[in-house]
Order: sequence, then structure tokens, then C-alpha cells
Amino acid sequence: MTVTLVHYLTFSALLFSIGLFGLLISRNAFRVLMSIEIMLNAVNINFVAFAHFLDPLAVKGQAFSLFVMAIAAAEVAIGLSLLLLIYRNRMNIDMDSFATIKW
Amino acid sequence: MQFLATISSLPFYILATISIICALGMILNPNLVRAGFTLIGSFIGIAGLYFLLNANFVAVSQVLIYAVGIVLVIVFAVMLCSLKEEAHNIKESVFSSKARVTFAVLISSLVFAVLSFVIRSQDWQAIAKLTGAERQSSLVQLVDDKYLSQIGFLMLNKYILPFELVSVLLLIVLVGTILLSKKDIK
Amino acid sequence: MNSSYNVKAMNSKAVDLNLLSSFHPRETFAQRSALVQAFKFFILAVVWLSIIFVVAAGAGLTFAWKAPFVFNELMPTWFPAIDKQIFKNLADIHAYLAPTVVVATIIPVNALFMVLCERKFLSLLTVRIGPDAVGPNGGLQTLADALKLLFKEDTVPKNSDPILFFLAPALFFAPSMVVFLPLLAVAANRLGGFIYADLDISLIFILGFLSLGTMSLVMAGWASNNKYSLMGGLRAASQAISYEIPLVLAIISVIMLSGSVNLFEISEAQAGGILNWNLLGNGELPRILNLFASTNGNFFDGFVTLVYVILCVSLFLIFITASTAEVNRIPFDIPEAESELVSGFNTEFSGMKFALFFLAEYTNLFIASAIASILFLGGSHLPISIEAEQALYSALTNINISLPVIGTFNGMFEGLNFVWVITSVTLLVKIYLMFLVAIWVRATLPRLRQDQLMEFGWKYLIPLTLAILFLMAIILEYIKS
Repeated sequence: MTVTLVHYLTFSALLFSIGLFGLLISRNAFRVLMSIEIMLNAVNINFVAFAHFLDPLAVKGQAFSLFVMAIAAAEVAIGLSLLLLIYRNRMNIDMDSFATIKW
Repeated sequence: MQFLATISSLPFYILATISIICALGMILNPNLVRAGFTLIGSFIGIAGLYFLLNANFVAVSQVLIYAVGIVLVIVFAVMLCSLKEEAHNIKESVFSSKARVTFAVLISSLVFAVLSFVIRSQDWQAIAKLTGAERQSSLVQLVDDKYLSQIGFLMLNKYILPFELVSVLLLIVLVGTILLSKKDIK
Repeated sequence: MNSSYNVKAMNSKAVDLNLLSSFHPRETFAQRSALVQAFKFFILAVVWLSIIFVVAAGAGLTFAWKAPFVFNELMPTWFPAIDKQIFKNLADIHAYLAPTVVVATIIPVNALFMVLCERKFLSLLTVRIGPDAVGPNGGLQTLADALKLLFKEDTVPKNSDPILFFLAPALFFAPSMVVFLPLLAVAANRLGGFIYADLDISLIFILGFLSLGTMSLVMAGWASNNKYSLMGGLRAASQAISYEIPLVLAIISVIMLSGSVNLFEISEAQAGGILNWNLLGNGELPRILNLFASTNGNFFDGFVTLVYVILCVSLFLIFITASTAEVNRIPFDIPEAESELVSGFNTEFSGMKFALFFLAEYTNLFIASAIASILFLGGSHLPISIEAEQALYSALTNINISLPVIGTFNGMFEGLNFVWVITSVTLLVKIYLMFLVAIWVRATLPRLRQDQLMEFGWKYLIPLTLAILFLMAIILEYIKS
């Protein structure tokens, strides 16, 4: 019953699919952003688990997960400011109503 | 001994369950602010898993960046976008369209099936650079050797280019966010 | 003393001072000298601090000390049928839990005295008597307050978010409890089970988990369904975000200076007298003499050291400012500004929920003071030379006590060294001195406005800390070479 790499990978796959589910199902732009965060976290778990189980001495996986975090923070900041801009112009954050090409 | 092995694997299962339940709760909760707060539980559960994986620094960064920073900013934005409406009525049911739900369930379960098939079919022991007792001793050595300074060394030597690129990216984001959220750009 | 008062005299316009003093059944402050008040406060502090210490140490000792002995030697003889391995693992689990038990006992007792200490010292500074009705010199006032809070009705406002309203105080309190653990490793000198509480990155750990409290402030503000609470929560969040940056930048400078992110190692690096404290440049201060010694001629070296020491002191001041803002203390307490927001995020909370907010706030202040005293004021080391300290430690290591009652557990106290007593008492006293400084600041400075706060944080503090970080890196490179 010891926890192995397979357990962590399965867990992260599950989390990733939950994030994907949320991404596909939700019409609210905020929830889409949160689902993307969940998916990024699942990827991060993979990095750290590989680093721990396959090659513990070279901590490359940990270094990479830090990069992922920095990029996720940047993504959230830009995404949220875009959302606020859209909200200010259209008073609504429904993903389906963003089809502005029709105008 | 079976009992002890079960006990020692308990933290993993508890933390994994917490983070999965919280992630599901985030998606299914109709109240957006609550969904944002539920996300904290998920992130903290994952941070606990990082602690189990001997990645203390990553775990603390997870708490600092995700559980506090990102969730705080998202919740802030949700509150800003709902000021016009009644405070607690930012509700939207996720099960609004049947076709969408079916499609989402189908796709995500398909992805999960493929991923778990790949994970099961791979022989991870063969890829591992160190196994068994060697790995155990190297884990002890890692804690003694200050893995943190090793991460710093990696970031400023081998990964110096991505490191600098990330810093430039963050600067661009800082400037871009201010420009975007300014009331009127002249 | 005449405690009855005259209604007619109250209605008349000229109230003479003698009459006024007769309203109050006790003496006025002027009738006692300030020195006596200060002495009484000192006695109170000593008594309460020793109570805190004894309670925490007693909890730790009874729970953890020689738990392996009980589990490995005594238990197998009592229950011979059970596998020995299970007892061994139980002993391990026990040792892991010991710091948690100490935290669970020390936080309430400590908060009891912190509130009392704040009220008494504040009354000293503002020339009042302060609470003096319950217990000797008001020493049990906060105990009575806590009991009152326990029995108060727990009200939940209408249309509030019940789950978040329930969770917010608990989530505010939990991080401060977790964050307490690494401090114990420094206080107990990594004794026994407390080595498990010592993370290799304890400083960053504390920073990360302390900031989790901000989330629950926003949560509390949102859940209360009250505009004042919501404003308070949003203010708390914006304040925490903006002041975390100078705080972390100041701490990065200290990390560069001492070369470690472990609180215990940072504390160890400052052993041996006040000159070795990070506040005064970690032992580089004597090089300033190069400025004046004309024979040496190494003027530049002295000048660089002078700049370095100035930077260290300013880092300390910046750290105090930013951490005061982080823990929402006056003059940065705009999230709960009474004059504008009733009581901010905790307006709607009552009874135990309010008590939890209160407890966590004071614990956060305690932790901030602890980090300040570990990072800058020598941590758990006495301000004496390393040799004297080592002599003291070895004298305490060889001490041998056989207690009449506990001594019957033969071997129970074998090999118990008392070094942790010195280190923890030193740390406790330093933390309380920092706390007195915080109260002094509270008594002196008025509250800032929201825009002033933001301006001060972003326009002055952050550029200043960035400049210090930059200068520090260069100077450290010069000094270490």
C-alpha cells in the first residue's frame, strides 16, 4: 500500500480531467480561469512527483514547477484585467456572449 | 506491518481527496465567490502533497502564489464584477445546457482514461535513475545538502534564460495590467 | 474613599476635581507615582511570563519528554502481548505531536497576557491606571473577559453566507497556529521532539502561511453581508498585498546577510554578544573604527562598514513597519478603523468567533515580534560572549535533578539538559520587548488614511527596500571578500 509514482500520476490525471471538465462546462469566464489554474496545478504535481521519484538529487522538476507558478500568476493577472475590461464595456462575463465578430 | 504501511500512506489519500473534492466543488458551486474560496482548499491540499514529496520550497510557494495571491486576485475581481447586481446573486448553474454537460463529461473522462492507461502501461521502475535503498539515502542527502541552494544554482546557471524571460514576462504583465485596467487610455 | 456621588454637583457646570475623583472608587493615577505603576506592571509581567513559560514547558515535558522511554520500555512490560514495533511507531507519532500540544497550550495563555500587557502598558503610557479590578492589580482581567466571551450568544446575521461565516474565524486562526511551530524549534534549541518542528525553510514557511490569514479576512468581510465588513475585508487584502512586498524584500536582505532561510541557523549565526546581532551588522561593526584610525589609512573600508550598519538598522525599521502593517496594528489598522468602519471585518462576529479573531490577531503580532527578534536581535542567544554562553550551557547540561514524585519513573528524566530553559526564556523576553515597542507605537502614532497607506507602501517603502537590497548585495560581496 505504499504510495508510489503511479498514485501521484493518477491523482494528477484525475485533477487535470476535472479541470478540463470545468473548462468545458462553465460559461462564466472566471470559472474558466479557475479551471485553468487547476489544470496547471495538476501539471505541477507531475513535475514534482517525477523529480521526487525518478531523480531526487537533481531537483529540476521543482525548479520547473516554480517557473510554471510564475507564468500562472502572470496569466491570471492579464486574464483578470482583460475580463474586467470586458465587463466594463459589456456588463457581462458570459463566455458565449464574447462572439463580438457579429457585433 | 500492513497496518503501519496503511497509516503512512494515509496523508496522501486524505490530501488527494481534499483537493479533488474542493476542485469539484469549485466547478459545481453556483456561487462564484464561494467557488473562489473553495479553490483555496484544493491548492492547500496540493501544497500538502508537495510537503510529502520533500519539496518544501515548492509547497510554500504554492501557498504563497496560488492559495493566497491568485485566489485573492480572482475573488477580488469577482466581487468587483458583481457590485452592480445583488451581492449574493452571482449565481449561474453549470448544468444549464444538457449538450454541453454531456460533451464535457465525455471529453474529460476520455482524457482521464487515456492518461491513466498511459500511466499504467509504463514501467516507471525502469526509468528511475536511483532505486530502493540508494534512493532513500539520496533523499536524506538531499535534505542535508540544502536542495534549496541547488534550485537556486539551477535557476542561475542552467535555466538562466527561462529565469530572465520569466522576469521580463512579469514586468510586461505588470505594465500591461496597469494599462488595461486604467479607466481611460489617452 | 467616598464612592457615592452627588447628582446636584454633576448638574452644576463647575465640577471640581476632588469631586471627580470621588466618582471613581479607587485612587487617581496622580496619587500613585508613575514609578510605582511601572514597578507593579513589571511584577505583573514577570508573574504572567513565568506562568506562560511553566504552562508551555510543562505541557511539552509531560507530553514529549522521554516518551520513547515510556513507549519502548514501560509499555511492552505492561502489554507483553502486543508487538513492540507498534509501540515504537506510537512513540514516533507522539514525538511528532509534542510541538503541536505546546502550541495549543501556549497560544491561549499567551494571548491572555498579551491583551492584559497591552492594556496595562498603554495605560502607563497615557497616564491612566488601566484595568485593576479583577485579581491583584487587574492581573486576571483578560481571564474574566475570555470567560465572558465564551458564554456570549453566537449571532449570525440575516442573509449572510452561513458556511463562510462559520469558516472564516477558524481559517484565520489556523495559519497562526501552524506558523507557531518553527518558532518552538528555535526556542527549545532543537530539543527532542522539537526537531520535527524545525523546517529547513522555516522563515519562508512562516511568511507563506501567515499570509493565508488575509484570505479569511476577505472571507469574513464577504460572508457578513455588511458593507462595513466588506470594506474592512477588502482593505485588509489590499494592505496585506502591498506590504508583503517590502516585508519579503527586507527579509531577502537578511537572508543574504546570514546565508540561511532557517530561523534556527539565523539565530545561531548571531551568537556571542550584541555586536553579532544582525541589527548591528553581524559582527562587522568594529571595522567602522577604520574611519577614525588614521594610522591604518583604510578609510574606504570603514566607510563601507558604516553604510552597511546603517542599512542593517534601516532594514530593521522597515521590517517593523511592514510587519506592523501585515498584522493590522495601529497605525496601519485601517481594516478595522473604528472611526470609519465600526469594527471592520469583525463587526458582525460575536462570542467565540470574535474571540478567535482576537486570539489570532494577537498571536500574529506575537509571531511578527518573534521573527523580528530572531532575524535582528540575536534570537535565542543571550547578549554575552560565546565562551560564557557555552560555559552556562555546559553547566546546565550536567545538572541532575531527582524530583520526589516524578523521580519514581526511573530513567524518566535521565539526560535532561536545561539549555532549552535559557534559550526559550531569552527568546520570550526579547519577543515581549518587541511587543512593548509595538504598544509604544500604538500609543504614539495616529491612524493613517487608506490613500496615505497605499502611497507610503508603494511609493516610498518598496523603492527604498529595493535600493537597500541592491546596495546590500554589493556591500556584502565587498565585506565577505
